[in-house]
Amino acid sequence: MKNDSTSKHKSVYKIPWGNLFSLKKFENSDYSLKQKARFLYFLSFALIGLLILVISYTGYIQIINPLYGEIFFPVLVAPILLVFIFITCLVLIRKGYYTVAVHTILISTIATTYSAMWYSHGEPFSRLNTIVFVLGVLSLLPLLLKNYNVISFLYIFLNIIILIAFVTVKSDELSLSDSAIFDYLGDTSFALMFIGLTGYFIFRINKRSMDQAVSDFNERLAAEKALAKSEIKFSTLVDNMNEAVMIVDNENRIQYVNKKFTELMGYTSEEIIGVIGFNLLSDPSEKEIVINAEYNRKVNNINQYEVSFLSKNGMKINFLVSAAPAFDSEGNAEVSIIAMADITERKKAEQALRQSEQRYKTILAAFPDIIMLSDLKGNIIFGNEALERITGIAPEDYSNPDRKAHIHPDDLPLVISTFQELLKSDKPYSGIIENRFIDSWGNTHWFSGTISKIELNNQIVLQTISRDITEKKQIEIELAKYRDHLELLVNERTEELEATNEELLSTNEELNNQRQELEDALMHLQIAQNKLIQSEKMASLGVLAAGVAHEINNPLNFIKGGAIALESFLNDNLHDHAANINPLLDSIKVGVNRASAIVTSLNHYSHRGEIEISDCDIHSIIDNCLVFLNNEIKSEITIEKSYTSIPFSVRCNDGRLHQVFLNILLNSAQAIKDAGDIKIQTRIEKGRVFITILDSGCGIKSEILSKITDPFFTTKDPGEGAGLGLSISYNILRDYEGTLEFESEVGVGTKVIISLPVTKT
Amino acid sequence: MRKTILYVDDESINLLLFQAILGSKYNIVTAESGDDGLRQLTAYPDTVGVISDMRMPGMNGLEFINMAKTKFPDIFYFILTGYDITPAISNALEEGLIHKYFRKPLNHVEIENAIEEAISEK
Repeated sequence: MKNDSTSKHKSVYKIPWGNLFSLKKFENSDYSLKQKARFLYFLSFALIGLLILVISYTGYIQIINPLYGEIFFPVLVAPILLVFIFITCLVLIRKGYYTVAVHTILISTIATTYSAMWYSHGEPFSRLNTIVFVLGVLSLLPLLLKNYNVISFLYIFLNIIILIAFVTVKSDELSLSDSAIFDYLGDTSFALMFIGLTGYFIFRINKRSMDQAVSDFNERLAAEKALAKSEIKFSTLVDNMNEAVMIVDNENRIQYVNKKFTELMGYTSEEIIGVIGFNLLSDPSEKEIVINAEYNRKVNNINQYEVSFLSKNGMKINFLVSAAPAFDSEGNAEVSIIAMADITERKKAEQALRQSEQRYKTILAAFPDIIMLSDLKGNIIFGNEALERITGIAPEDYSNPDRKAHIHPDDLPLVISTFQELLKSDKPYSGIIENRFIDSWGNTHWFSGTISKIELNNQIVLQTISRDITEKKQIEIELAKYRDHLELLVNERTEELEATNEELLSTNEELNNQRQELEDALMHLQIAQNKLIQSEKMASLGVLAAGVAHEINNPLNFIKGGAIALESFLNDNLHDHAANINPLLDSIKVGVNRASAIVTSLNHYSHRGEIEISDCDIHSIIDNCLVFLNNEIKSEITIEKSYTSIPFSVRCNDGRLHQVFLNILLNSAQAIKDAGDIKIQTRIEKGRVFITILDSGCGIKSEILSKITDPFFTTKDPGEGAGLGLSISYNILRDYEGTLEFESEVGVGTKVIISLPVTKT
Repeated sequence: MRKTILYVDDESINLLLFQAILGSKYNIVTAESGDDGLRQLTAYPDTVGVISDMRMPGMNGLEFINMAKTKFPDIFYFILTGYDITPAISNALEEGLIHKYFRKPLNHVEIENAIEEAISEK
């Protein structure tokens, strides 16, 4: 509008005649005045043109009329005067003096009309008739006057008075009857008044309508302003919402989106408006959800649902949608307003949580060990699959205090004390405990596990992780069996050794070299034995000893037999030399006896399962040994006995047990240099008898403590002991499932602990 | 008259020595194997006792004694061995197949006493 007016302005200045038709002075006037001014302006032009035409015509008529033959000027004065008056009016209007112009025209026209009537000498009819100009001009009053008030009526009454004055003064000239004059006056006055009234009401109605229109217009303008203001508020609010908003029509065509929508979806408003909403769904099948939601909204009054949209750059966005219809004035749903919260992150978090939960469940289900949560009363809160598979505890047994599966009664104290320590401790978990457990079917399991305390819903809960190590335990037992089997294997090996030794000894043929060879053989034997001991432990020695003994005893037999024969020969034949020779023969015999004793003692290794076993009384065996050793035990040594009062016996070979205690007691006695004591104590514990022999002797150095049961290990001088005593004792005890242990401190004494299983108490 | 005793041992030195030690008291007949022993028993029917080694090539001591005893049930039999007592020997003792068993190296006094005892028991 503004642009248009500007362009019109420009054209006004460019074209000169345009200037003539535009009324600059009235541009800012009200609409009606502007129109009136234009009307008057152009009327003036028209009248000027018309008057010129009238003047020309009248002049022409006068010229062609034979009566005159020339222009009669008095007749032309009036129109010419009027032309000047109208030109003045034009100038006045252009100058902006509208009211002056109007009244000038009115007064001058009326004055001219009356002058013409007054001074005319024509027919009365044509003089009286001239009044119609006045009527015509007066009928223009509502068009010309700005305010139709007293002045209008003043014009009417003034004219009526002038008319009456004219008729009265000129009645003679007019030569009309009185009745005709009255009739004329009455009719004309009536016409004048009627014109006045009509003009008044037309003006009034126009004015009222205009005022009404203006007030309506102003009201509407105010309403529009208020609406615009509220729209700004609304759009600011909607644009700044954290939710995307769109408005769709009944065909689901997008009519509006807010700023958040454009930010999230990447489309500008221009791009998106007019698009069908369904086309934005990332999964076209979700159209169903929207349609269902619309149905639910109408029927069930539920208006929230979740769908995912695809943004311009292809990102999937999950929305929580709330939709509501907007109604038109007749109550029909016109559009739907849809608010959409971006829940993509929430969805992702939910999915991540679900996945993590799923992973955790999978791990728990596949975990081979038992994982269990329980409260402090022993109710199980949670158990993984392994719990039911291994122990048979099903979820319905979780809170059953009488469930069949339970901790082995022997291990219950251990488990309870672990619980209690854990609850007291700062550490959240226990050390590894091993315990037996009886499952729902009555089978015993070995479990190895830890207990942790964790806080769950402000409550201390115990988490147990246990591994079923039953098989491992069984394998341990199997292994022990295999160890025993190994001995059989060793027997086979030793037969091979036997053959070797036979070869070794078969070269011993000459009597004179026998002793030397014997010693060599013994040395070889020792080396062989040492090797054997290293690899195969004691068991092999027995069979070796048995085989070797025979082979050594034969050469010993040669020596001894030779010596005996020699002695008897010498006694018979060289009696005089007996004193010289006998000591030599005796030394041979001593040597043979000593070697023989060693070989004999070696035989102890070979006895296994062939010797009579009976119920032995340990106390009397010890007492017997003390009697045997009476000579060996110095009088300064005191023996203290503290025997258990519980009667018991052990299944052993009586003789071999005697040998054991003789060896040990002899060692104790020999360890005491001058004076000291030997304390002998027996006690029963866990189905075994423990015999402790404590001496106050010289003690055993720690570095040799582990070797004292090795065969041929001795600290005694050569000839005083073969180093077999403890080795044999150890082997004998082993045969009867006994143990032999030493604790010693140099200068303080040695403690020997023997244990054997008790068969009878 | 000296009693005849048969001594069986595969080691000739043992045979020699046995002869040397007990030859003055008894008439010692020797054999180097079980087979040889059976032949000697037949050759010397007045033999009163047999002392045999245990381990020998061919028959061992007990096998030899077993066979000898069927033919010569009235004489006594001893084992003289380098071995410690074995289950076979203790069975033989229990069954009365042999009177006694001696360990090598020999104790001539023990053997003499046993022979005397066995003779007197007859």
